[in-house]
Amino acid sequence: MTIFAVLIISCLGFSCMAFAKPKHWKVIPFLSRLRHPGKRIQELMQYTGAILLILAVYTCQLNWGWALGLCFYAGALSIALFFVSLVISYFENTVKN
Amino acid sequence: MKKDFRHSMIWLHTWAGLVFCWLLYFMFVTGTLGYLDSELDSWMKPELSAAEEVSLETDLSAAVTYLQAHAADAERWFISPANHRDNPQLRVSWRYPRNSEKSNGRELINRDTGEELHHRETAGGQTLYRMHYRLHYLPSGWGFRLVGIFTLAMFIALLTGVVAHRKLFKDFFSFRPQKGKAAWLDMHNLSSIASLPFQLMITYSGLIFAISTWMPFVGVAAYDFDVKSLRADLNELRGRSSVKAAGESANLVSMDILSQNIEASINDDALVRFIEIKNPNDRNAKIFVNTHLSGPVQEQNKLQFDGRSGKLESSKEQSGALQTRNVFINLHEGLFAGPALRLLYILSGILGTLMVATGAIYYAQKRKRPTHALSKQQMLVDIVNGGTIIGLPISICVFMISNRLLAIDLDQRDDWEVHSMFLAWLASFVLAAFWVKDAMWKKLTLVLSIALFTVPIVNFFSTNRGLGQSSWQNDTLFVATDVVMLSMAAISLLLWAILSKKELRQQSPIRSSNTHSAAA
Amino acid sequence: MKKLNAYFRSYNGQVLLRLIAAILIGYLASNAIGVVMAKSLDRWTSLHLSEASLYASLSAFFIYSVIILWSFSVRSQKKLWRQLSVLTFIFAVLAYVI
Repeated sequence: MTIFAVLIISCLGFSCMAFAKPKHWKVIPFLSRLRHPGKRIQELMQYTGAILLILAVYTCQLNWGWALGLCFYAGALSIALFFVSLVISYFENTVKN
Repeated sequence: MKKDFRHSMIWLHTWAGLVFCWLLYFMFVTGTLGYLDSELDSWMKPELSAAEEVSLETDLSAAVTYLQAHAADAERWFISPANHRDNPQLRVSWRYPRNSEKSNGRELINRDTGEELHHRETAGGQTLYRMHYRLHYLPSGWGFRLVGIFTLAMFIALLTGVVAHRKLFKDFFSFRPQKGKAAWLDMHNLSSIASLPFQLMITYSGLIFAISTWMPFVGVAAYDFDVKSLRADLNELRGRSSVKAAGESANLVSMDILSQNIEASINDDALVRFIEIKNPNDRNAKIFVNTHLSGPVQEQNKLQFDGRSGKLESSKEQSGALQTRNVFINLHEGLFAGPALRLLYILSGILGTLMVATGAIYYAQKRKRPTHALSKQQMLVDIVNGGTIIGLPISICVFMISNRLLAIDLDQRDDWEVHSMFLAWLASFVLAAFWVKDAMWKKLTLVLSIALFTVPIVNFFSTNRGLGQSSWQNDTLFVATDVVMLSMAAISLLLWAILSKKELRQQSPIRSSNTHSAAA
Repeated sequence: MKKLNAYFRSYNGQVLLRLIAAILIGYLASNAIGVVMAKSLDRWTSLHLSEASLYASLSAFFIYSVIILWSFSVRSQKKLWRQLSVLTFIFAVLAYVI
């Protein structure tokens, strides 16, 4: 079950990092109506994303220890990054068409 | 080579990638399936179901009784108790010395009756898994040597790829599926960046397997070419003591004492992977116990017991260098991975497969001009791309189907399963060549989805473990296989639909979108 | 002879020369570096020779890859051959001396 937690945390982390950029923010139908926050908030989102990713590795370490935890972490990061990018690009295409 | 570092690296990335991509694709597909080797083995022996786990003692006594009756004079016995995904059944094998006339053997044992379990002769998942590091149809050793070279090319392609696509690291969330050629590049970047740690790990650890074939000189020369003492030192490092048979017969320890001693000396959650009995029924009998790995780093997974008394003998500490090597090897093989981590391994492997496939397709697409007809070289690249990227999955489906359809008493049935796989692969090359000028990808995907659909259907009609019955009986493995096959068939059908739609759009009189994407 | 000369000046010939340098000479160089690494680890640290040579073997492929990358990144062919052969020679001598 912990693996799901790790996956969700890293998905959130990557989404934070992605939406820190106005380019990706504009794509999402609901978010694009809001005004994109200023530089400060953008930076804050970047840091939040990084912190979430660190939180994910901490969760792995707690649950499995370093050796096995890092294996889980690497796998979860890959899947999360791939998934987030696909979702963003899906929105990107449906919005533009 | 080129005007600056980055352009040289791009050049090297293109060529190292292009020359080896189809073989690397083969290695990635078969290697990823290798993480499911035992599952595929069980699927290909539908007569057998996984034995229930009982005590270690039951398994050991049943195995030793069988071995005493059939191979009492063998040099080594190996016993794998049925307690793990790797060994769904109790398995024994035995080996005679090299110069002996008697032949080695291996059997699955029914622990209740003590007799062999009978099942169809099959190549199984192991053969598929072995192809990823030693290919097939090559004299022994050559496949392994070639794979070493491909792995080095893969490592070079990875390192140069990081340099070549380094811009993408700044913003790796962009994938532009509508942009034609750029979409292939984006997919290539996305799948490789997402799984980069896995790719680096799997490639470098793959190279470590090749050290003894391709880099033996380092160790040999460090020992001033004294191969004998190098070998002795390495054996000592591995804790492999050489035990000679005394020639006097003696009784082997009874298995209830041995299993008690084993269970007392391993951790509670550790499981015995296999037991090797060297020189059974001899005064110098030794018993080596290997436990399953619980993680990539494990300090001690080998124990040594005396064969007559069953007492634990001294176990050496592993050296740092050997541990480093073992961590790489363990990470590569992933034997320690439970279901969740195994799934992550497989998904990362699929990302690697995608990376190789999209790279190959991007190379071909980039050089196409919509106004020009395809040149001969471009057609050749297209045929090889289609025949490999879609043809290999088709041939693996045929491999699975042939396991069900070939006559049970066929001579060398396991070889014929592999032959039919490669014949199917050849056939898909022929199909690709036949269709290359006209919607090759679309037609091949349709063939693939038919092949994927056929597997559960053939399984349904040829065994009594079809989808209906297996879900009734909670037969997880067979349900999972059928569901995976059906969903992959659905995915490739979806791909077929997308490709057909795209083709329609291109044929429509308004060609603006097409020319637009070409200009971009 | 003239033909051969012209071939090695052509694009294909240049690539072939570089491949030879990277793969053959790079292989020799990485082996030599590996041996030096093993021997010096054995001499100046407390590692046993078997462990030292195992560490060196583990890194040999990495050294080889870096040499291959480097030999494709150097611009001038002459410079590449000169530097690579000097490097190989130095490490081969070192491997013999240590």
